[in-house]
Amino acid sequence: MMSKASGKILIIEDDKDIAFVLKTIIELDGYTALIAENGKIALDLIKSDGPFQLIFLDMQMPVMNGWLFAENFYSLYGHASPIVVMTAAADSKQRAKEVNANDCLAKPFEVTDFQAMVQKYLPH
Amino acid sequence: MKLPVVRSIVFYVSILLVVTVTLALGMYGFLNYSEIKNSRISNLKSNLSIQTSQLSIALALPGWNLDNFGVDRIIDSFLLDRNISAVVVDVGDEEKSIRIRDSDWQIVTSKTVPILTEEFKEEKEIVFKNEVIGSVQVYVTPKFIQQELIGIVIRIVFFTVVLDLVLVLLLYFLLSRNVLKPLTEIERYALAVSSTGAVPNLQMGRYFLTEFRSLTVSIEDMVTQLIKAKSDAELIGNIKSQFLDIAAHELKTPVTALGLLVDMANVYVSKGMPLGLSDLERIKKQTHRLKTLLEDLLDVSRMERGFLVMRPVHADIVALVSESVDDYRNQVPSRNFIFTKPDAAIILDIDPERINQVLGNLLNNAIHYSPEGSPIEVSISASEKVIRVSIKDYGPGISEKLQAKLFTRFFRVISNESAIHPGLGLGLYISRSIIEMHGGVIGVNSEEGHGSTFYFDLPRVHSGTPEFN
Repeated sequence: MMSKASGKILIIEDDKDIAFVLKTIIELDGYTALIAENGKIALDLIKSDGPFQLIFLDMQMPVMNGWLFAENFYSLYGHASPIVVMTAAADSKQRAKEVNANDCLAKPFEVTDFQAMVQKYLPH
Repeated sequence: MKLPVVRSIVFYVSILLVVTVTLALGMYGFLNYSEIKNSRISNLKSNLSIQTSQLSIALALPGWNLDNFGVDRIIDSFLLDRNISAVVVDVGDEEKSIRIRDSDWQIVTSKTVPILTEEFKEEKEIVFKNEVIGSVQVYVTPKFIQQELIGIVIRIVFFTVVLDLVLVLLLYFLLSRNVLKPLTEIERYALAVSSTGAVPNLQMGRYFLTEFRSLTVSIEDMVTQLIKAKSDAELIGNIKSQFLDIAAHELKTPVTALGLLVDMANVYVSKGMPLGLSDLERIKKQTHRLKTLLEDLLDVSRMERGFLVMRPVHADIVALVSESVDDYRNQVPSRNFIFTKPDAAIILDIDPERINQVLGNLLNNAIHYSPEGSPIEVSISASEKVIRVSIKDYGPGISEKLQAKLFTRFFRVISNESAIHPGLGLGLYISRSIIEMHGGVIGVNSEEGHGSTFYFDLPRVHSGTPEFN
């Protein structure tokens, strides 16, 4: 058995299936994960359940999108948690730069890409 | 390409006018010349006749008296008229008295009768007391008349040349100011438009030819139209590429979800964990979503190439809507669908699959754009000519500005709402096409804050064969 890792991860993603798979994988790897459907819910979750050691952020979401979330998050907490942007945009690195994110995952990505990203910021 | 036509017009007009003026003045000069010539010559001739008669009468007495001195004096007095070039008097047995002019037009005495071919000659007998005593010959010259005529010709030619010159200068001035300059201005304008694409002002106001004013307006209109067409085409191209970006973006989401779900299934299998039914449902749902996106894209492509075909059959619209509403009741049990329908079936000539697609689009929109728990009202109403299907939601409503763009092709790009709701925004555009191909109308009544009612009308009776194209 793999040694269980620790760390709380926030997944901000409006597609329920993507969020579900990411949460399942994270939990299988021994981390804790919470899902927020949009930026507004995410800010509420950070307030009630934070801090998180890593945040995965989708960009295009209803109610509050990734850009607005990042802006709000930095003004409230500074760079307290690393943010990884998940985007379907043509230039994903540009998106990451736009919101001052630490990293990016270009959609479509695979589970192993995602796991590697988690490993990078929350090593066992 | 540089103004050859214009130069030749100027050239030909000038030549034509100059030739016309020259011919007219030449003709006038020639007629004037011949008239003067004829009258002068006939004057000369009649004078010659009178002078000869006077001379013969005047010479009668001295001739009878053989008074040579008297004869010479009389001849000399007649020779004071410079037109008379020679006088030959023959009286008695003596030698003839011959007076002619030398090269300096001085009177000299000659021994021989002059041979003067150019001059007019008149001969009269000298009669004294009914007896012929001799004869007198008088020669007159047209030389001075010719000199006068040459003067007239020179005056006419001079006048013609001066008039021609004035005409040419006037023409050059008028044409260059009113034709060449405006045309040069038009050329400058065309160059500016073609090289920079900018639209400078055509400065033609100071040219008085009204033709150029209206030409200016026409050219400016044409250029404005062309530039508008160009920018429209660029705008469409721009919108199309933005739309492609959105399409790629929208397709990536289900593809990502599907990939991740399959990866997760792999992880499950490798760990010997069971795969739940809900996991397979997720895969099915994402596949369906991908399929719908692709079908919308294909439908738009078919529509634009005219390949979207309706396959009409006799179908009951009431049953069709009922089935569709029932489907959604099962799929989205959390929502309350209120369905008002007539009791009897209504048979129409429609393509049931395509009408279903329209119903699906409208119901999906109603579900997505209204808050959870609010009802969705579907109704069918019949009038004499049309059947109206309405779907009312209690969502935020749609601004009038957006309503106008709702059924257009690139609504998602134009509305700039891509960040709010997922999808390609093609549903209403495709629906409009389908309803219009059925001879119907699709529309929306909405007020911000008061929900929206989308409706479509289908014609009740098709006269003859329905036109599905």
